[in-house]
Amino acid sequence: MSDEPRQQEAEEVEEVEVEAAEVQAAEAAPSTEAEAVEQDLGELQEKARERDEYLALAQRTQADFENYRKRVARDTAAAEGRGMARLAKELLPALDNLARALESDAPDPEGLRLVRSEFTAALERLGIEEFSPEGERFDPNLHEAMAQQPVDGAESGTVVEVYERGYRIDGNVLRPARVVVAQ
Amino acid sequence: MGKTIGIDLGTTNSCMAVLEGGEPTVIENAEGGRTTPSVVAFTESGERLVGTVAKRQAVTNPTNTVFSIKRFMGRKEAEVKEEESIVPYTVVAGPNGDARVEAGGKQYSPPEISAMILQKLKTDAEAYLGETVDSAVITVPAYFNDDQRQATKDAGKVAGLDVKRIINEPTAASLAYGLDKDTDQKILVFDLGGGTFDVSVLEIADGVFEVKSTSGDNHLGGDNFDKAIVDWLVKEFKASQGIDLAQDKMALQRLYEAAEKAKIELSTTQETQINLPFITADSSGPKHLDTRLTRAKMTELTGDLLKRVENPVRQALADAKDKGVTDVDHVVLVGGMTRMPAVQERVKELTGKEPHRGVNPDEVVAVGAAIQAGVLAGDVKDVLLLDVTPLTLGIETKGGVMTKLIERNTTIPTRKGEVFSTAEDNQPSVEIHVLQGEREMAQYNKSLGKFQLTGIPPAPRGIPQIEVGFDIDANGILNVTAKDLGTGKEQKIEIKAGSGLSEDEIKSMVTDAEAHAEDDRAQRELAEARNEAENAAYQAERQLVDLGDSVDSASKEQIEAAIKEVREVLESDDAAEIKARTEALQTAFHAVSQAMYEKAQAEQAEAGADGSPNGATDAPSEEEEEEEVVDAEVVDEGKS
Repeated sequence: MSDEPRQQEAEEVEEVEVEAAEVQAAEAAPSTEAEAVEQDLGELQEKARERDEYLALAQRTQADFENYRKRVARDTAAAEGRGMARLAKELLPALDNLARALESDAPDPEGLRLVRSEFTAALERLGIEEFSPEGERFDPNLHEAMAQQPVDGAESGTVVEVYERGYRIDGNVLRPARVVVAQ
Repeated sequence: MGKTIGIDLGTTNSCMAVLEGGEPTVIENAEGGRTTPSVVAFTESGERLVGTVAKRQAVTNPTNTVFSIKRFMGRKEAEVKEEESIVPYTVVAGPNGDARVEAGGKQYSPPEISAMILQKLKTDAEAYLGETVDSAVITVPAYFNDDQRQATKDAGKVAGLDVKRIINEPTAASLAYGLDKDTDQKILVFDLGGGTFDVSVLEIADGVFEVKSTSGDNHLGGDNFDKAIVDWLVKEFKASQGIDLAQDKMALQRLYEAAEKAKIELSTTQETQINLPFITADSSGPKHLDTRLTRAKMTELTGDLLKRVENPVRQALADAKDKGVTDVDHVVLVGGMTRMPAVQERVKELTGKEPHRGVNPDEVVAVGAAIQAGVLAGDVKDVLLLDVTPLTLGIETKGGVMTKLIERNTTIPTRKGEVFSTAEDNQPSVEIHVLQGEREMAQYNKSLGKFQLTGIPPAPRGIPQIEVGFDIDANGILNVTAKDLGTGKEQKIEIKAGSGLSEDEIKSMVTDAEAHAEDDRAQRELAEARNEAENAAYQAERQLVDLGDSVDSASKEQIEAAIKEVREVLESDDAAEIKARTEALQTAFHAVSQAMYEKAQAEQAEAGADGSPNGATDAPSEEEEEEEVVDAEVVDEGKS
C-alpha cells in the first residue's frame, strides 16, 4: 500500500519528462511534428480501413450463415419428403393386399394375419420394431399407463394388459405401448 | 460464457428457444419434442421424472405426479383453495403460509418443482446446443404479481440459471413479431392455451412495453374444446350402438386423440372423417366408430366455449380504454387453440383487426423470450441485421431466357459466379444484360443495365469461358463483372441499391410471376428446346466435317436429312416436335458413331491378335480401348 503513492509520483515525473522531450523535438524540427501527425493520420486511416474490412467480413460471414441456413431448411424439407416417400412405398404392397382381402367373399383371418406381418416386415425394413410388454415391469420410458387396476396373481407395478403395442425406431421410442398396470 | 436461452414456462407445456446467428430456433427436448409437458413425478423407487415420461405414468401415481404447478407459484395456500380441489396431489401451507406440494414423501415449494422442469430444459438445451447454458429469460403471465415473479426467478436460480430477466408472455409474443420496432403501438395479445386463457392490452412507447389491462379465464383452453367433441362422439355412439364409451378408458383415450386430430384438421378443411375401428365390442361382435365432423358442427359444439372468450376480450378493451387506449393497432395470437378458424373469426370480430400470423402460436412466446435473451446478451448487433434481395437477379442468355444467379430472399452481402460461353462461332463480344424479377423470360423482367465484353478471340461457339460474377454488398449495391478467362479481359457495371422499386411493385412482380408461371415455363421450355435443337444440329454438322470419309455416304445422308428436319422446325412454337426431331437426330448420330467405334475396335483387336500374342502386351491396348470409350462419351455430350 505504501508503495503506491511513490509509484504514482514516479509516473508523473516521467510524464513531465516526456512532455519536455516532445516540446524540445517540436522546437528543434517543426517538420517532424507534421510528420508525426501525418503518421498518426496514416495509422488512423489504416485502422479505419481495417475496421471496414472486418465489418464487411463479419457481414459476409453472417449473410453466408443465413443463406446456408435457408439452404439447410430447404434440404431438410426435401429429405423429409424423400423419407416419407420411402415409407409410403414400403407400405403400399401391404395396402394392396388388404384391398384384396376385402374383395374376397369369405372372411379369411389367415390372409389378414399375412397382411399384418407384411406391414410389420415393411416397418422393420425401415428400422421400426414393435414391442408388447405384457408381464414386464411398467417403465414410463417405454410404456404409457392408461389405467391401473388390482389383478389377482399379478405383482403390483407389472403390465397386465397391452391395449396397443409400442414401437421403436432405431432404438428410440416412436410410440410407447399403451398398457394397464397392476395395482 | 454460456448461452442465454428463452423459456416459456407454461402451465401445461413449456417451450424453449435460442437466438442462433440472429434467428430464433426452438430447441427440441431429449425426446425430440418441441414442447415439454410441465409435469414432475416422484416414483416409488425415489426416482424423479420430468416431462413426457412423468405424464405417461400419471395414472399409476396420481398423488405424486405434480402438474399445473404454475397455478401455485408465489401464492399463499389460503388463496388457492379452488385450485387445490382440482389437482390430485396434496397442497399444504408452508411455514409462512406459502402453498407447498406434498409428493414423494416430502414437501416441495412450487419454485422447487418449477426448477426441476427448468433443470430438464437446461440439460436438454445443453445437449442440443453442445455448449453450456447458464442464463435465461423466462416469461410469466402479465397479471403475475411481484411474489409470483420472484418465485419464478427463484426457480431459475435453483435450476442453476442466471435469470437475466422475467418478461411478460404477451410482451414476448409481440417481440416475436418485431412489434417493438414501431413506436406508439397498442397491441392486444390473445392467448388461448391448453388450459388457460389470457387477454392483455399492451402499449409500446420508445421500445418499452407497458401492460394496460389484462383479463382472462383460468380454466379455459384446448382441453375444453377436445372434451366438447369427445362428449358429442360418446353421445352419438350411444344413440346408434347403445354402448357408453365413456366407461372404457382405452376407448376414451382414443376418442380424445381422434378429437384433437379432427380439431386440428378442421383448421384447414371444412370436413373430416373420424374413424375408430374396433373401438369396442359387445355380444354381437366388434363395433366401429365411423363418423363425419364438419367445421360448422364443431363450431356449434364448442359454441359455449367460444362465447366464453368474448367477455374477457371486451373487458380488457374496456379497461384499456379507461387508461386512454381507445384503439388497438395489432392483434397477436398465442396458443394452439388460436389455430381454430372460429376462434380467429371471433377475435377479428371483437377487435376489428386482422391478427398477425407466421410464428407458430405454441412457440411464439419462447421465440420472443429468445429474442429478448439475444438482445441482453448483445447478440443482436444492428450492423449485422442484414437485408435480403427482394427479387431474383440474373442475366439474359440465349433464346431470351433469364438465367438466375442470385435467388430472391437471399441474405446480402453475397456473391455468386457462373461461367458462360458464346452462342456463335467467332463471336467477338458478349452482352451482359442484368435482370431483376421472377419471370422465366428476360423480356418480362426489369432490366437493370447492360454492358459488352469485347475482344474475345475467334473461337468456335461454346469454347470461350466468360465468368460472370454478381456481388451485392450490404447496402444493396450490385456489381456485375464479366471476365474472359482466356484473355483475362474484364468489364463491369455497378448498379445502385434499391433500383427504385417500391414494396408494392416488388409484391406485384412476385405475384405476376406466380400468375404467369405456367405460360413462362412453356415459353422457357420452348426456348431451351430451340437452343438444344440448334446446338445438336450444329454439332452434328461439325462432326460430319471432322469425320470426313470415315462416315459412309448412306449414313451421312441420313444424318444430313435429320439435321434438315431439325432446322425446319426451329422457328415453330411446338416444343414437343422440336424435341422429338432433336432426339431423332441424336439417335441417328449415335447409331453411326457406334458402328464406327465397333469397326475401329474390330480393327484394333485384329491388330492386337496379330502383333502381340502374349498377355502382358495386351494391357496397353485395353487401356486404349477404355480411353476411346471415354472419348465416345465426350462426343455424346457434345452432341446433346
